Amino acid sequence: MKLEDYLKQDAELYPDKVAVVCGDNSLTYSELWQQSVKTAESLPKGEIVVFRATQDIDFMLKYFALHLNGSVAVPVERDLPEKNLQEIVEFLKLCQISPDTADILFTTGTIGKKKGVMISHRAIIGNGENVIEAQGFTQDSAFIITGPLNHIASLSKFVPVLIQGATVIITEGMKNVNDFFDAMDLPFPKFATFLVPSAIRILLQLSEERLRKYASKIDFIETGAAAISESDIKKLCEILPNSRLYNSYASTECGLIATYNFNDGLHLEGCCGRTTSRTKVIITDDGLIACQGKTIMSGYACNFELTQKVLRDNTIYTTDYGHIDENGMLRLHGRADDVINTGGFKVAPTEVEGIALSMPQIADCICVAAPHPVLGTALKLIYVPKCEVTKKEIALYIKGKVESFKVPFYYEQAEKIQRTYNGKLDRKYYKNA
Amino acid sequence: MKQKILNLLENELPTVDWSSQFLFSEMDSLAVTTVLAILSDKFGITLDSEDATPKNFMTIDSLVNLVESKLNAK
Repeated sequence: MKLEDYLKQDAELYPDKVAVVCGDNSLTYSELWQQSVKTAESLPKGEIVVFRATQDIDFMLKYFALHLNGSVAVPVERDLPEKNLQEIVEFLKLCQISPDTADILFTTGTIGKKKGVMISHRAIIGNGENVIEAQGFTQDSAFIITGPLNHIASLSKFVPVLIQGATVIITEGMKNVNDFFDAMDLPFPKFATFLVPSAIRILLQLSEERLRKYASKIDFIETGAAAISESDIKKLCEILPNSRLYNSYASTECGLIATYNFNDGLHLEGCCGRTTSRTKVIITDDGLIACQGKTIMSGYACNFELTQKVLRDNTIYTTDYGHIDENGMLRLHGRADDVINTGGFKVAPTEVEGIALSMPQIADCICVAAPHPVLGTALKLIYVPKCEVTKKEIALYIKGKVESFKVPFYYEQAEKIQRTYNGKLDRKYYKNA
Repeated sequence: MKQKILNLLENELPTVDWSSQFLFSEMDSLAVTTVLAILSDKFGITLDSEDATPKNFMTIDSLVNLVESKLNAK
């Protein structure tokens, strides 16, 4: 069965049940199905369709409608500059995509080029089944989406909701934390959500007492996409003693691989738990994590060379170091590449450096990771100016060319940038600084 | 007061257009949190999630009003 088959089935089984809520708008399963079918009438059939991931019910209708038409959904960042969106459209025109592809989700590659991850209908369902089984997702759960819907962590949550006939609540994210709490005032018996570690930090920093008041309503919170600190783990367990609190290891390429309820009294940092039943984890001789199973991607769109590098013999080779501990739990150590994870978004420093260097006032620069009290890790641009230039001018220049999460938070002027003997940027020097 | 707040915020969040008539739409969750943290720290007041409303983040003057009302309530 495909996701939309579950939607049709839900509309027959629970026509009047609320399927989705977004602000003042909501749709029952019957309405969601009917409106998806109607939306499909005005959308292309059998094509690859790139569209902005607006955080609303219209997005959901378009997503299902494209699948109903046999089209491939390619949701992209809502604030992606138009020029970049058109580049993706042109890029995909040349593509031969794998049959059964449902979605193409773009993620950051190590050299700054975007990678279009092809995800099949089969992988989508397998991933949803993993979530239901591993995290106890039930029909009376109302799942609050707080992250961008072009990101696998949020988009994939439609699947367990539809398979179980549950409810999804779409919010604008954690900018207005009041919306998050308002969602939990809706008349549903229990709530679940996915929050990146920086969103948890925001809640703990701004709303600790308020969160405590909602403790009995929170069935579970899942986190992942970046490392969560030990102090936040312990604090969250103390505030929500009866909720399940999961730390997951997942990726766009592999789906949900492992998940660990850290509210188990042990509060293990860096632990991602046991693997889900539809995936298998292998640790390579180099200590890197590799994954197999029903949920893995079909490959990168238009990039056979990179696909061969990452996907061989039905196995995805990641750039994450890890090991399986004596209790069979997956433990993460860090990354083998230069990609910087900031607030759950992966950024290739080379992309930021390339843009900064295209600014006439900058002679040299390097983009590095720097500690940040909320994000955990933020981007910092160390730059050598050719002439006078302000932090604001640099930041606005970069903002005009890429998604906002790629704009460095910190700026430092330097007399020179450290390079290795052969002229390459000396990233190790700055990592150890 | 307004100039002091503007200087503080411009330095920390350079991509925000502080002359905007709807600042909230200019910001992401990190920017909102950063504003609350900076103003709490610099003015010795307590700002939490209930203060992070679109109304309080309408303009730079709205933020100045927020700080002044918290200072007066101390």
